[in-house]
Amino acid sequence: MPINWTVEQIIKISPDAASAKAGKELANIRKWSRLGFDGQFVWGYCQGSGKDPYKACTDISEPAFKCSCPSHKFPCKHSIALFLLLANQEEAFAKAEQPDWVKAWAEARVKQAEKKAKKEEKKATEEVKPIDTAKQAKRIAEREAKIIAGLEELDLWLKDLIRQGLASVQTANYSFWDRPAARMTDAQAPGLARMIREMAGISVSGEGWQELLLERLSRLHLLTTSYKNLDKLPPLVQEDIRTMIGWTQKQDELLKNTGVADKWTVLGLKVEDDPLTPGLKTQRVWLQGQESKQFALILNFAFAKQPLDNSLVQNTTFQAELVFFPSAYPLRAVIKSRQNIIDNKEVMFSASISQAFASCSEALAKNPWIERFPMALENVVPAFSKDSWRLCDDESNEIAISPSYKATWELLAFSGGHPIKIFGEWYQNKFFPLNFWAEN
Amino acid sequence: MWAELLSTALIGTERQAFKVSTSTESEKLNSLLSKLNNSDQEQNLLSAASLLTFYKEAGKIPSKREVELPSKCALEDLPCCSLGINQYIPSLLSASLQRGLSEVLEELIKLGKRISPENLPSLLDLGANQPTLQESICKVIGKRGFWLAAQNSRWEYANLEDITGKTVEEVWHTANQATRFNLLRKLRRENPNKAQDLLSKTWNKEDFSARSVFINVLEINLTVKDEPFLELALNDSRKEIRTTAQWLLYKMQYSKLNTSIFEQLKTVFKLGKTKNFIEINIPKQVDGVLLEYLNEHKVKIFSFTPDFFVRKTISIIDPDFWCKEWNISIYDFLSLVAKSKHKLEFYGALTQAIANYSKIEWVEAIVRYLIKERKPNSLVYMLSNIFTILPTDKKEEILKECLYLEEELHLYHPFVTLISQYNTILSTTLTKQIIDKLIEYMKNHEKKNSSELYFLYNLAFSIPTTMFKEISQILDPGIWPSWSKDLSTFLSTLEFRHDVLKEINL
Repeated sequence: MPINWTVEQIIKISPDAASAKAGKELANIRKWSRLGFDGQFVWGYCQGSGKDPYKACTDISEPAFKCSCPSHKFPCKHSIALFLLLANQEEAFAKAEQPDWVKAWAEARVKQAEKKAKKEEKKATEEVKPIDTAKQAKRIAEREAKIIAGLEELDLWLKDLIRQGLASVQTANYSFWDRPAARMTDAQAPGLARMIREMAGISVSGEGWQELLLERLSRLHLLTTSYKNLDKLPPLVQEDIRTMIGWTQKQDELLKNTGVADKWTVLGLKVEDDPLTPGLKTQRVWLQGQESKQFALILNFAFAKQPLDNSLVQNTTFQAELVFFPSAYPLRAVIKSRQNIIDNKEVMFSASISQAFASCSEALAKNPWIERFPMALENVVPAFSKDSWRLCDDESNEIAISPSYKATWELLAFSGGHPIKIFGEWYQNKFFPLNFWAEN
Repeated sequence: MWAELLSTALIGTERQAFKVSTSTESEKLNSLLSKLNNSDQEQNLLSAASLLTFYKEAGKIPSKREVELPSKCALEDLPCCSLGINQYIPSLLSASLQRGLSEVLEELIKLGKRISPENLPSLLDLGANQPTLQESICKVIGKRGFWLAAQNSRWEYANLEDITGKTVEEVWHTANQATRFNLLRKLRRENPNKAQDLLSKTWNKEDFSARSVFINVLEINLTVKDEPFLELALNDSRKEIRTTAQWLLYKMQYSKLNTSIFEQLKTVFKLGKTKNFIEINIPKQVDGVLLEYLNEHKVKIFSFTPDFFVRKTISIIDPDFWCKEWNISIYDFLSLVAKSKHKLEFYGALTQAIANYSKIEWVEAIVRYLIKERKPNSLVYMLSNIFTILPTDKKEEILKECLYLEEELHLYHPFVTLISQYNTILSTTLTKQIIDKLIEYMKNHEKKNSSELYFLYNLAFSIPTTMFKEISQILDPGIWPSWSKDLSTFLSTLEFRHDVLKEINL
């Protein structure tokens, strides 16, 4: 087999803990028959509760999964089990020719890829259907007008709040925040609406809430002021501000741009439930380019039981072309094209906490709206005092670990008091670990 | 300036006017702030706050280290188990498979391997909740585990120091509490008198925490030689210590306390004139040690009823006393109990007494009696927890007898009840017999309800994993479609154990 997938990597592909558990339980040879591989594809038959066994197949180069079971989860427990079997008992897979159903899937994948490539080629070559620029300009102008009107109202609301004092919000109910947020939604500025809704819980968040609230309000104020003076700002800063307000860029359009071709390593991955939108899951995948040394953030979203993209597996590296969203400090990107996973684990780390902070400062100076900043630190030791956890470097500096990170004891156990390498997100003055490695 | 700004923002500009100050450390910032000079106070405050917020964020420098760095853990001397075992540990710690953990720990100990660092916190946590596992856990966590335990008071039990090259006395006088406890427990097993002697010498200087931990060690190989020490401990200033000392004295065969309580109870429980029933004479008043005991257990005189009295007192008396006093066999005693209208209380209290005094002959007798007399399975269930006290060969012998007691292996079969308490690995011979019996049952029946073969769950933890392949062929769910779900669960558990042990041995 060309790639050595680890159990840990495979478990991380599971859509949830229950699937991982079920996958582990199913990952035994007794439950499988006719296990085969041909270098790129692995397949097998798993006896389920039905009469016929389920047929599961995985393209390990990506990875991509196919199973005949009716599960809505993706990858399903059979796919995970098959993958785990491959990692644990490779010898159980016989080198064989693809059965017809695998062949059909492999061919369909090739056709699909060809179709996609053709479509893109066609799109690139064919004359672009003329856009009714007048209508488009009218739509944009109407939205701009709505946003500006909304911003005027938001300004009044902000000033009113400062006039009355932040202490007044402690007795305010949720509608106090919801009303201006709803107004921003009406004004087609969803970014602002989100920022306001996020403030609703601050006054009851405990010590330091006043400072945090003022900081958030001041960010909101700067954003509204900047938007009103947008044309005076550099183009990429304008892009950042427009993104924060809620203007979106079509990924199709974006993908027409030339990207950054590199070997990209998946440094860390985090899936979170959106606190403001029930049922919405956000997946953040952080990559680092080996040549470019650039960080990239791939964002995926899924509603309810929709599967998230599981093809980006932590600690794997793949050759790909990434197109970054225009920004004064580009981080968010989309994958334009990618090839098979390659065996490469080179990661570029900041030599010290102060160096990581310097990078963060540089980024914020270009784009002050960055919420989460990627940090890869080396030579740091986890330590704790009372209930707070830190990472300490050999320059006698420290960085606080986010209290929402729950595996601090595992981190300490892993380090054993020795320096480790760690990757995570710097968010609201705290570091949230996403991946770590032994120093040697 | 930020503090000033925050204070105004908090109480509001209508109560406190805001004027932009340009007295920050940065000239550039002051210059920007000086441009905020319009008459709109709120606008000025928000703009100044924006400037300062971004200035702070972009100019943030790391804090100087305040926290003390942990010491560096020494290099391990035990090899780590394979990386593959990591995938099994979380499942082993989960409720459904935890029963298999002891076996895995024993195997790791046997092979002299340790578990990987990432699994240490959850394993140490489990030990904190289940003291019976602590000793085994300490043997598989390696130096990293001891090091980690020293950082968290919840894992104090595993905070063991390296005592290589130190004498017993040195360790006892200089080591931390967990290490001393470990030493005392080991010594108590090997040389009980030496352990007691060591403890007596420092007892008065020990703090409460150490006293409360150490006194419990005396339960191991408890004899009348410990009586003087425990009698002294009865005068301890802390109630917890007094209670433990008293409990150990009750547990001590022929201790003065035990004997004198028995002397009093002799008048309460008598063998009837016809020698075929137990006569219970509830006293109107009690005194002496019995009164102390009842007081200690907050029993009030007005709550005395025969049931209550049986439950509270029979449990603290060595059951041999009754046989000796009435000159009857264990079997006769059990027959008398069976005739009593307070038999359930008797059985309950007797079980406790048997467990306290580890009376193997009583366990054997009582289990055999219940089976032979075809007592209801609920009774067998009630007493089955003492089954674990028996040595493995005795347990197997009883299980085998039990297996053939009835023709069919049904849900309420006493064997099914006893196997739930069987905590060791069955012999291959008995396993084969059980499987034969199971097949016989499955052949003759269609599955009726979901719990019918529930005992397979327990059985899966007792079957030797070396028989996995053989059993998985015989009990292939495909051959037994009506039982496929139970058999799949059973085989999965068995296979899980098989795989874990295989992985450990890699």
